[in-house]
Amino acid sequence: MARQKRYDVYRRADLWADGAAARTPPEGTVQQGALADEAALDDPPPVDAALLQRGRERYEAVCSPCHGLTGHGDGMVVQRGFPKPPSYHEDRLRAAPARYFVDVITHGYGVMYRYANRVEPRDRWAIAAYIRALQFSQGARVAEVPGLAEKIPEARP
Amino acid sequence: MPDTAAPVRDDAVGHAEGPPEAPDIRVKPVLLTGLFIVAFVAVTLAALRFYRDVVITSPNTEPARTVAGPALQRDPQADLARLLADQRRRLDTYAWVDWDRGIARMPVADAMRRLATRGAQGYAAPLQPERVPPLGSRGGAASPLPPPGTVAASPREVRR
Repeated sequence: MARQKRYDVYRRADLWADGAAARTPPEGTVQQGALADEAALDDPPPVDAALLQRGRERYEAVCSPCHGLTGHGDGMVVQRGFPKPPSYHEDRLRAAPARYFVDVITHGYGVMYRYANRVEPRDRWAIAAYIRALQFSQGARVAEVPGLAEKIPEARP
Repeated sequence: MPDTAAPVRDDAVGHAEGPPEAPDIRVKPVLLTGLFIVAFVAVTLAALRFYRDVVITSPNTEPARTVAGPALQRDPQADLARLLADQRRRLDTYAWVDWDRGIARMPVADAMRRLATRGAQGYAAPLQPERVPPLGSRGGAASPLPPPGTVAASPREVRR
């Protein structure tokens, strides 16, 4: 069992013309479940309490180390010197459509690599919905939210 | 016979205790020599100190520089707990963010509850109209991402 007739990773293999044991999948290869993932990405699930709760749980597990619990881009990883991601509460990202967040999770952006292999398509929409909740929570217009003005404790910041 | 008289025997009579013998060295030169040695050592030490302070200018005599310690985490768990507690507090409280523009923050649970009632409109951007951020724009940073190969900004600059 210790010695097997197989190629080790990154080793030389004389069987193929280029001599490399690592092979590229043939042209047009599709990952299993890719069609279902694409369909799920194209069809955003309705925003309800369960989706938001799922989004919160996934956000705090996957995104918060860099983006911070409040989405200001001040997570622990950033405190230790890594590049600061953008805050969700700036105008650029408050005006971005929810699909933009899903696309960034899927393909990565800037120094953020793609999270397609660790966040399911439905969870990406859940995270996008929770980001909307974060934007609503951290930058609510008092005049448009009934009952909010009475709950703010101090008169002025 | 004249020699009937008993001979004088020293051991019987014993020696009389004479006066103490006078020292045959002179104390004054010894004391002067010791004093000279003490004075010589003192003068030598003082001269060496003067030489070290005034004459020597080699790098070894430069004053020690104070270097800032490395930014190490002595207690990572406490740091993380402090950071998370601060962020949880911002996530769970009501407070003004911008009084002049009438913007405040509220607990995210409250925001989730309100958002859940909107249905499909829950995805809508809170700042209308929706616009896709331009490709390559670096949100949160004033300058675009530096091209590869250039020296990245130090973490201290990047940090808020």
